[in-house]
Amino acid sequence: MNPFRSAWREIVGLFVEDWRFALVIAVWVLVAIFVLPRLLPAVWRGPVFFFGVLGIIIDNLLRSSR
Amino acid sequence: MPLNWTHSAPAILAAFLASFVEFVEALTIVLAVAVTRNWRSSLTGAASGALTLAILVLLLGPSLSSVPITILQVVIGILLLFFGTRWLRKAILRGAGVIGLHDEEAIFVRQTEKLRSFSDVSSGIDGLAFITSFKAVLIEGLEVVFIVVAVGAAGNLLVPASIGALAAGLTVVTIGALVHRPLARVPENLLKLAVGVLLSAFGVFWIGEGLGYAWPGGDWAIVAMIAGFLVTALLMTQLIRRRNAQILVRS
Repeated sequence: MNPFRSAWREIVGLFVEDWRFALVIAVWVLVAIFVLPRLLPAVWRGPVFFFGVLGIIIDNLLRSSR
Repeated sequence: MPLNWTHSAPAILAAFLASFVEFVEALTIVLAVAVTRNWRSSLTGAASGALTLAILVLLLGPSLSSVPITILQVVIGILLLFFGTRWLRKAILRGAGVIGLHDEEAIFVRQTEKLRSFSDVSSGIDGLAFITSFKAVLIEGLEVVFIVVAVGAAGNLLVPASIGALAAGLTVVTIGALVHRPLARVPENLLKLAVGVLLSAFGVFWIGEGLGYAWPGGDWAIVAMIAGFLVTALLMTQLIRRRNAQILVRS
């Protein structure tokens, strides 16, 4: 494999290992961009987004460790 | 302009720790190549990889300044969030014993055995040694460049992030030059956990900044989120370890 293709694979692998986890994070980011600003006042959006990310991590860890 | 330490200190630390891990991985391969093939070819390959990276950074770096800051914050925040949570998740699963720890010594042994199985070493520049070291430095170096850009670009912190990465590179190269062995005693999982915590917090913060969220406490929200990710990581490591131990006892 040439070094650039191998580098590309490594770069993608930097962000995604568990595809399900990455997908859920991506969906939550889309919610943060398009939905949270319509539903919540500005000061609540950050904490809700942060606790959502924590929830996704906890859920994935509990599934992955079974 | 004076440094804003609320932003700069986590950026320097995140870039240092993340780059340290990448440099250690590159050093393991460069050393394995050097001791099994020859030092000259391995070091020439490593230097060529570093030079290629420097050229890439010089060519692509200035284009970042043409991207509007809010778009840059959201894009880099998303990349940081993916990168950080991936490391965090893996470090917790490793810490809890669900998956095996990363072992530089084992990687070194595997790499040397693989390299010994190839044809005899040539007396001049050995092609296999050159390419293997070149590739290792290029790939791990690209990761370091990404980390520096991701940590530094969104908050005008490229200089602190670069200082962190440079310090990590100098530390690893100095230790490698002194001991001529892979740095197997580096607590890599602990470093990855720390980096995962820092980068995840940065990622969430920059996404919010780019989207115009009003963070309670302003920049101190980063510190609060670092604490939140850290406490969650430590609690989850304990919880999973205990749960799996109970399951083992029952079965």
